[in-house]
Amino acid sequence: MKLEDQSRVAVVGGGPAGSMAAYFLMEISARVGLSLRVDLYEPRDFSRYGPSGCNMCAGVVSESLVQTLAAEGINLPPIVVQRGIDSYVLHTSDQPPVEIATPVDELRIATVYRGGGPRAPEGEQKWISFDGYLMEMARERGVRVIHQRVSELGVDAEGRPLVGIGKGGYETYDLLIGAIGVNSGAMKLFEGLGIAFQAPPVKRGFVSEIHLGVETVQKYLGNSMHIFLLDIPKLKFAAVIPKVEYATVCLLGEDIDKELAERFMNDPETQSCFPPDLNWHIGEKLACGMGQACQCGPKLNVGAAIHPFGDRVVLVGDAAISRLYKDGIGAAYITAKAAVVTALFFGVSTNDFRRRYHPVVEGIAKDNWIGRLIFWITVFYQKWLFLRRGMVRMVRQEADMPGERRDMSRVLWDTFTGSATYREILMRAMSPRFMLRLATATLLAAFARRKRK
Amino acid sequence: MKGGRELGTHFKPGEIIFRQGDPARCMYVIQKGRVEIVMESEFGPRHLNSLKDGDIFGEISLFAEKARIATARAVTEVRALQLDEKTFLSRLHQDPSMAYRLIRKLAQRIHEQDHELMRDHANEMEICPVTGFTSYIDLATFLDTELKRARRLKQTMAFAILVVDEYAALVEKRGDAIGEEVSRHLAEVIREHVRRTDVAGRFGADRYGVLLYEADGASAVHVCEKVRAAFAAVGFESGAGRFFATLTCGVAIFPEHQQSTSLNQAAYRALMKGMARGGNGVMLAEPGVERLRA
Repeated sequence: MKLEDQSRVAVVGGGPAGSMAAYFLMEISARVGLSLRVDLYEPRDFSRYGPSGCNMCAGVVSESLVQTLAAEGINLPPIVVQRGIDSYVLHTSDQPPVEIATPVDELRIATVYRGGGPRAPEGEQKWISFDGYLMEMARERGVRVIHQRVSELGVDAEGRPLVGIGKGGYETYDLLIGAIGVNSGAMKLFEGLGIAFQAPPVKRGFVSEIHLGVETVQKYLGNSMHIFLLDIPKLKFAAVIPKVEYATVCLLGEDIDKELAERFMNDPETQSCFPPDLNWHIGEKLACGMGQACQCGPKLNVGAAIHPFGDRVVLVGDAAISRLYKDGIGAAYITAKAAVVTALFFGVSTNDFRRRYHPVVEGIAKDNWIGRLIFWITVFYQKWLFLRRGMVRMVRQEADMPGERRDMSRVLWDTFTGSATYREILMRAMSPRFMLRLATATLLAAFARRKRK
Repeated sequence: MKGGRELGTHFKPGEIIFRQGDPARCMYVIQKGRVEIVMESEFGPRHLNSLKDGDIFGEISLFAEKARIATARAVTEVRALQLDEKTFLSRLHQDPSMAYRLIRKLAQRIHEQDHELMRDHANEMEICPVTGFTSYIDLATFLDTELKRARRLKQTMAFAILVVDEYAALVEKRGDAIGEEVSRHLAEVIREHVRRTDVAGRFGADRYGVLLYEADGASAVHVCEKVRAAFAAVGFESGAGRFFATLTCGVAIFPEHQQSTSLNQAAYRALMKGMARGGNGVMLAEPGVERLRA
């Protein structure tokens, strides 16, 4: 089973995974003189403001993904980039916040809006959607974008996938790529295809867009991502991410409910990131001015799908796997690319995908297990003050050191920005130098405190 | 830059991005602006390249030298994004298709620089006013450079020496003007039959050298044979009546002969052999064996 000249490919879902799959299908097939006909199905219009064009995501393009895309010739223009990030600030319940800059002084993480953003810009700066930008790139490459909701999927007598839109009948394809998000109803359609696919497990997160205005964002958040290690049970990861006019609050962990969100927003450490006159209320949705513009409780991928491929079918992006708690767009890129390369150069049968595509998905899944271990360790840091003190002390000591010796800064940077695999982070944290320095810093911090008493 | 929506690092016009000899751990992708690459040497600085939005620089250090081989300087306001060696190379090994764009860029750059090299040589070379070909000395130097290139790109190359049979006797009998006309016609015939990229030179009154790129023995002999036949068919008018001229040709091939001197000598030996057999023919020099082809 191979793709041939004039083969037809359907990509269902026009988020980053779908658009990149469609784009790379055209780009790479052209390199080897193969001409494909690619249809991309996406009902949403990413140029619209508000929830209808939204993808419910924190909207961070990681350091490694920014670089990888640049190497692929995809340079994100300023109109797409909401803000370039060069540092992050780590907030804990009782220690003063510490700022950790990128190893090189550079804006190397991009924050973006996946859709049009909560509302039209109030200031002078304009922006466009990241997802919309990628989709336009695919369109420029010759992908046919179909703004319709896929209502049915099936297989014809010869085993070719069928895609149905409403009353429009079926289209037959040689390959079907599922690039649907975990919040999409189309997940059921793929589960019903008979390829033994099961959607990945999900947990509910919390995302809130708070309008502050350009100057206030700059003043309170700057070009930093703000990460919180607060002693709030069930909260695994909390971040405040600066955009042009907004701050995006993103909470991940065990199912996040309203109380938890409120507890986080009312924490003094969180409030230090916002102007004192900000009144934040859960459920509030302001049409203009400072305050919460929208909030959502999207489902987040927290594991791997079962069997995300079959004959002439493959699922990419969140529908297959994501990286634990972060860099979902990076995982979308990696899986989309791996699926495309497999389909173009090896074949589109179950066996081809099992041999060539599945190992890539498994690799991410394995790394996520190490990630779970790392996040399990951070729980102790959230709970135990003496550990936090040691960590903060170690970061402080590193402020004047050359980049390559900032061990703790690097570990934290990679853990919270998704710039390295969890495996790399663990290896770095297990090095004798790191352990020794952390132990010393922890002991000294405890000792210094006792002396002051 | 505060509140920046442009990714990467900012450089002011004239600012050095990296200096030749600096240790290298990344390459750069230009987000916006123009960058020039300058190489310093004992002969002074030399401008190598001008780059713009979307171009990549500093990539050589990722694959070859671990120090910068040239200096990169911002010409305008520049935004450049660093691509870490580790991120890039590990992604590259996971997904080799990522290398395609870089290889394409490198190939384009080699292509452009080859053309530049050719232009530079054309400017420096002495040109024969009759044939428009370069002189012998330039061709010999050129041969050296081109052999290096062929070696690097693993390409073949043919070097042919062509001699007009009995040219001295012809000039003595019919005069210098007729000799020049014969030379001009031969130049025309050569130009017609070789590709635009091939290079011809005239050295001495009756001798010509031709460099045929990416030609093996068979194709080089085929081309030279066409030149020989076409030249033999040209009729000349002189006071003493209509006459025809012929040529003899010796061909040697790189990599069968590795150095410019041995290539030259092999071609010359083949030529001598051809002349000993009565001329008007093309001889191919093979390592140790020379065969008559015409």
